[in-house]
Amino acid sequence: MTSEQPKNTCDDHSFQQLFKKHASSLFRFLYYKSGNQSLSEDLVQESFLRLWKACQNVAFAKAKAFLFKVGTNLFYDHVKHEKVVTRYELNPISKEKPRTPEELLREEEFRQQLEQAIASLPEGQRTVFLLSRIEDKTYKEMAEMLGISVKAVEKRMHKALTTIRAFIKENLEK
Amino acid sequence: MEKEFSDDTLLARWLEGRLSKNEEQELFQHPDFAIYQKIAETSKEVNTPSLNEEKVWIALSEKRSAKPKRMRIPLWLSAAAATIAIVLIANFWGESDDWSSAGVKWTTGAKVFKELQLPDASTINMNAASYIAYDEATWEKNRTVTLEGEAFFEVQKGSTFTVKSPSGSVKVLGTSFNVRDREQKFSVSCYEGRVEVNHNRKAHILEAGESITFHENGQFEKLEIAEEMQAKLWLEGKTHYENMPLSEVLEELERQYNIEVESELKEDPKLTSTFPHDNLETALKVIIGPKDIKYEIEEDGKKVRIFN
Repeated sequence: MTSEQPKNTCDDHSFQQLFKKHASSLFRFLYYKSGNQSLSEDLVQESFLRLWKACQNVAFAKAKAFLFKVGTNLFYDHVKHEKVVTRYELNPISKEKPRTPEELLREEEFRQQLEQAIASLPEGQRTVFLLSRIEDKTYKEMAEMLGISVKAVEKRMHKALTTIRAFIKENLEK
Repeated sequence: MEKEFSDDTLLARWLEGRLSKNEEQELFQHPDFAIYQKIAETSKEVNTPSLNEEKVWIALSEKRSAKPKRMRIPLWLSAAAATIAIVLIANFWGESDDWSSAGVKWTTGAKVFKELQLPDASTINMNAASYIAYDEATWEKNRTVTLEGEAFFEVQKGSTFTVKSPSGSVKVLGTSFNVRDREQKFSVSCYEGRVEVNHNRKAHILEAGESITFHENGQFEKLEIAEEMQAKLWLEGKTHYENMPLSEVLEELERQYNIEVESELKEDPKLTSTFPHDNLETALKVIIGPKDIKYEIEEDGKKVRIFN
């Protein structure tokens, strides 16, 4: 009997393997959705617990999809009850390049606007936008992750960019 | 409002470099193209916290262990493994007639534990890589279980209860005990009640708190269970060994983790300690201890090399 890959996720070894492989990316995925670190951490824990409880019915190869699906559902259950506080911070401006004070000010202003714009995006657009910008996920990968078509991902991405642009322009011109 | 772009995926495709010449023209001439560039660039700087994996894993482990693990071993897994094991046992113990007539058979694979309920509510906890068979139909008058490997029995009061293993048999009256018959060793530990161990046509009576180990060369030793009690640790996901040669400890490690261990050592020191069943690295560190021995886990986690 050869069994390179366990049939399901019931044994400790494969469960731990799955945790090491997917916990962090699930966490970031949920963080892009919620902008809330501790909530994302709780949801990761709960998602894996659900996987453990359902282990007999989840094939090893399907575990990732299961985790992201459950994580997403848990997130939606959560937002039904309370408005998620969203705030995304940008890393500090690199000071390597010499800049004039005016430049730095403008830069800082732009970054603040961008932070707010990202936070104000509808959750679906934001998730796609951040997965693409930060994790360099392709639209194809995201489509699989989110269970939607590549075209739908591209539309969300396009819309996210135009929304952010409109937000920034409106605020900077005030 | 007029549409900003001719296509509603244009900006998305721009970021992946999949625009036609015309679309590129359209984008480059857009009055806010510079802003889009800046957004795309600056947004890469969004600060993402990282997950404290260890903290979540520990919390998760606590919640997971709240439920008994043994209940989750799927039936089909044991059933599939049983077919294979019966063939093996037929090869090894072909002259034994006990297993062939038995109606209920269980085999645990590596890393798999199984708790069995017998018709009279006696229970058997099977350790990894073990085989159990008994006949349900004649259970009432003939409480006999065939064992290969290791199992812990908790026996309800009643008629004689016998465990037959390749090396001998154990007869009991209302008790709990552990039988281990692996490689060159056959050992029985009695925790409650009284058991009679038959080996090489000789009967040995064990009182509660005693254990006996028979070696291949015909020698045997009777020990106080106080230390030997630890043998039961595998029930809690640990293996305890006392004065056991390294080679035997490694064999047990192979069973518990379903791995292959390749030892390049010339000596075979006798060791005493306890290793966990849920963390291979820790287990290896415990086994090797402060000795000048190194180990290497291969990438797929299925093979371990031990060397000086």
